[in-house]
Amino acid sequence: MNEIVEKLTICIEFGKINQKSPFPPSMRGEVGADELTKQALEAGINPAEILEHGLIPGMNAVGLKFSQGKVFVPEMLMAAKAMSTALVHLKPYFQSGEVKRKGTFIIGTVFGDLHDIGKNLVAMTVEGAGWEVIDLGVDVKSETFLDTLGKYPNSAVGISALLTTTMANMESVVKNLKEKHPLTKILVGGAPLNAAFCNKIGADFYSRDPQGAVAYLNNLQNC
Amino acid sequence: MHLQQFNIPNQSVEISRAEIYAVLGVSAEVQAMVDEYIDEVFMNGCELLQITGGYLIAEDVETDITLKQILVNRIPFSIKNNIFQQLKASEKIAVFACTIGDAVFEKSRTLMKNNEMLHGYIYDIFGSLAVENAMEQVQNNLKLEMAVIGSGISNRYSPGYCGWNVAEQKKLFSLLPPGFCGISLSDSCLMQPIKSISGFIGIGPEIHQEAYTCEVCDSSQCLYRNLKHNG
Repeated sequence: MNEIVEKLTICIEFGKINQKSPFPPSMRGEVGADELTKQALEAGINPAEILEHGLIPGMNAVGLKFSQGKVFVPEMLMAAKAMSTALVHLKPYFQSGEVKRKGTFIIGTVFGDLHDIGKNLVAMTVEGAGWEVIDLGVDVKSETFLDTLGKYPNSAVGISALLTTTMANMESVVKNLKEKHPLTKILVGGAPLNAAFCNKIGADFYSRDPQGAVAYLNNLQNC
Repeated sequence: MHLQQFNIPNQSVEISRAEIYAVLGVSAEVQAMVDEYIDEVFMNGCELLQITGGYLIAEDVETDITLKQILVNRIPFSIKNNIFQQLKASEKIAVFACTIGDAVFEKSRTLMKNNEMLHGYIYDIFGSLAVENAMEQVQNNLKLEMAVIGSGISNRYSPGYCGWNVAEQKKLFSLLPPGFCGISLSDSCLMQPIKSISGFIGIGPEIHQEAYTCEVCDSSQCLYRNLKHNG
């Protein structure tokens, strides 16, 4: 494995954004994800390899630690920021088609609910796992999910809710989506949910953490 | 009925670095990372607070032991046994609400949209702690007011916590004057501004406050749970 790509993985995992960034203290003064991605491209490393072998393993590593309770939200957010900083350099290659995404994931907080921190964490982690993420924000109605799904018909959909009152709104959204797009896989998540509720409303998968969503989506890709 | 509403000075809100660490659940190494953000939030966050809080003291209070309901002004509230046990001896109920306004939440979301996720998240935590801290002041005022007449007060309980269905928020707000403290309720019972809290406090000579008992509540989002376990 190329040394730059290996270092990039470490920078993502530990949230080292760039040389200026003081975090983590053990990497103070060293170059970060920003500089290393540029270096990798300048060294002629294939952008797909940078993504597959540099960035994605870093996000997977921190996501796994998060799901195991070994790191908390701040570490996830710093890793995601390092990841998005690196992705800026890869954007032209996504646009040209030279680097392929694993698929498209549409995500939003269900209508009636304005909570978004958990949803944002999932969006960032899924993006960091190599998926194109279309984040519809909060208070998202069925029509908005349907319109977006119309534009990206092979996407998976993620719906989030934080309140017991708003999780009930998921049922109508799932029903409306499944009526028009029966093959679309729908993931649900949020503090008051569980797998039984997911089954009851006809969604396909409940994930208690971002890494669970990534694992499910990656499996879909392999089916 | 007795209605009180206070404008609470921003400077009176006291939030410690340790409280923010506790909610974040951070290690010593991560503390170094977040300190810069916390410093900025402490410096500028207070200016964004627009705090209003208050309570209405309802004297028409009955309990139904069989249904584990408390009736306030004849409106039944289905509370779980754990809250019922704390409130059942109440002679009066203080229906409270408190908000810090919209500005902290908006600042938080602006930062998040600009990829400053951690900074925005710390503003969000600051807002949650600020509204709880402000409500603590409102509650202390109630405590002093009730002590004069020989009554004690309970802990505060909110729809959405300790098994109390958040849908009962609508009935709770029906007890308060329209637009009390500038708070409105969405169809899904979400308070606007988001950084607002509401609930009941029991009042009576046999009523007293207790330490927070997380084991009787299944909320994974509660600040007090995080503060208790990580603080």
